[in-house]
Amino acid sequence: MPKLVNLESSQADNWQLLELESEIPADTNASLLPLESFLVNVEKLDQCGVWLSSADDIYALEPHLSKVSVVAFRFESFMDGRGFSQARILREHLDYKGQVRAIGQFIQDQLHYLLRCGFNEFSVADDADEDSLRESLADFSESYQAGCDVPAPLFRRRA
Amino acid sequence: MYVYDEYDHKIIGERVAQFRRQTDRYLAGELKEEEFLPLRLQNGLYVQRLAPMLRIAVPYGMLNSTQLRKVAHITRKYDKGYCHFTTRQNIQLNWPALEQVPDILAELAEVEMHAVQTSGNCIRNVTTDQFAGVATDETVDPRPYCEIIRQWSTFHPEFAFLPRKFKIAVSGTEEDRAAIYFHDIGLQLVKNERGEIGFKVIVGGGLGRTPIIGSVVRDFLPEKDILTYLESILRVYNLNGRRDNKYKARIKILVKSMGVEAFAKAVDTEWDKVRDSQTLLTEREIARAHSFFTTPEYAELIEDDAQAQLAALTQNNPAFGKWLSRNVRDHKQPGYRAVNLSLKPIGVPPGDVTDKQLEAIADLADRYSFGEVRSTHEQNLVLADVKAADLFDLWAELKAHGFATANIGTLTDMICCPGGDYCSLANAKSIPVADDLHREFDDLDYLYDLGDIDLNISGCMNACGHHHIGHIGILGVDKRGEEFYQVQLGGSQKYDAKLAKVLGPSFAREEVTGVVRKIIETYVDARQDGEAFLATYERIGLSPFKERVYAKAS
Repeated sequence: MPKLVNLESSQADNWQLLELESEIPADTNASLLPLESFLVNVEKLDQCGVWLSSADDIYALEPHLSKVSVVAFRFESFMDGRGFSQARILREHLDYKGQVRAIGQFIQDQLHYLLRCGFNEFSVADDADEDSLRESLADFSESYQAGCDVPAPLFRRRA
Repeated sequence: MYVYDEYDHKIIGERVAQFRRQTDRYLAGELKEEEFLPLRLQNGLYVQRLAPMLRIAVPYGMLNSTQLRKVAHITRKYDKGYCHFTTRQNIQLNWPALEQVPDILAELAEVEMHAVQTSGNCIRNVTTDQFAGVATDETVDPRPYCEIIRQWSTFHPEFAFLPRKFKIAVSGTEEDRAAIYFHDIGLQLVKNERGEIGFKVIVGGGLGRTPIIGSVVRDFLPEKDILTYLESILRVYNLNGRRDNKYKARIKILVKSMGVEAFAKAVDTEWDKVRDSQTLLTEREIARAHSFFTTPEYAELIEDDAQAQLAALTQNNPAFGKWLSRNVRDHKQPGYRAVNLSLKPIGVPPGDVTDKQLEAIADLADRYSFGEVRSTHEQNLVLADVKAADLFDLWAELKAHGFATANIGTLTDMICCPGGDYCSLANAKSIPVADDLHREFDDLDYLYDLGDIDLNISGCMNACGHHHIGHIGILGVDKRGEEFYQVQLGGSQKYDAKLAKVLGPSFAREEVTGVVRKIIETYVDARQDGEAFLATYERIGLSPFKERVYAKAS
């Protein structure tokens, strides 16, 4: 079973990743619904997670964010960087305060940038080396540009 | 030039440590090849035909003597004692060992240099005019803005996995010496009626397989809005650029498919949301950036005296006069000049410099030009602040080191990519073609008579040699497994941006020199009133050249 790593700790990732054809369970507290399923069923749904592919439009979630406890961005390929922009839009334009999770094919060395773009949870293989992951999360202690972690760019903070 | 503060040092230091760890993990088998690929590319390490190649960033072309000496040392310690200046003002080492690259990066960091984002699907080195800050036709010095954009783009967390590479160029003069219409984003610094500084923003230019001239999306963007606006462009590109086909993934394809107006509108929609964010530039930061590019401690000199002295020297020494007229440019400051160092003597691949030469240049920079030098996208170097009174002595020293070939702007001042000798992407060798042409056209008087001719050579369609925008462009092609060369005419990299047209069927390598000679003869026969090559071409068109070149021997 994969694990869910955040800044402080890790735990087993027992979230259920649903596909378009999947049946939506009665209790969706630990379910990640594909965006389309969520939108179609949104009236009936209570707290759940939603996952987006790189091609999905994050703005589609805008009217329903109060129902979404986790927004997960699924990376089909780590070379596809759309998730970075999608997450930033979610945090900075849509002011989302819930969990933003990276799932799928992102790599360890993207962790720091993912963090800066608003991700706070990462679903990784169960045998992933956590110490190494945390080192990568903290690759840089200082950055030039604004990010979700430090919203003031360096030029506003230079002594 | 820009001087690192503690923040810059810390950030670069952390990058070196990051890459060292990534390299260690890769060599220990903990990082897969395809996962290590973007990491090493974004640290400049490119695997090539013969050996890994390391591309070192030279931010907007500025180098100081300390940096030159360090690069010389690095070429000796880690490479074969020479380096190459590229068409984006960067430096390339052709033979580093992968395991040693973290050490090289650590040494570069000591002199405030790096290889960050010089490769990979990210924002690359910001380039500009080699005469920035000293040009007589300058509206606004572009360098402070280049530095602001450089910092904004360095380790930008959102834009490190773009559909493709992203290149930005900035120009601050009436004449475009930075090819801004052929970049993903080109920025021209302008002033409005109230004298306020802003940018004309051009998006979607480029060369390569689908050469396109960029489109203007904004006529005047106030200077403080530049970073938020750039973010908006990059975000639209990151979300909408094609990712299905590597050859259709640049922003130029997106702009063309959306149409300029729709594209500009999409950018504006995003920009409305971010224009008041903390990424809005402050006057303080703009002033801080400007503070690194103040004028050096020029002596108070009288321009008329300088001119008289040079005229006298020229009278007695025609060779000096030739060098003066081709390689030396006027300067904003009375009594000063900007001096081109030609890296294009016969028998040397264009843009190559040895370690000893680098040290000699460092020395010359210290003694003649406030310790600074600039790299140009035409693969030459510039000593930008030389006293006119020192020119004769400098010329003698440049001659001794092989930098005084008085061919700047002429036919033999070619832009030439590394080509099939070095590059695994090439269809054909380019350096031997440049060499043949150089030997054929070795009469300087004849070259001067021909005037300004941009001859650009690329070994393949990726167009690193900018063949599309040469007055004469030569493109290496693979015809049935053999090296052939296609010739194009009439391109221009300036504000009158144009793409060259193909002359006709391609030629074998041994024919190329003869073809260029016939092209030149056509020009010489047809020119009127001393017009330059491009003007003649535009007046008479492609046909006369085509007829002459392809005429059957009688």
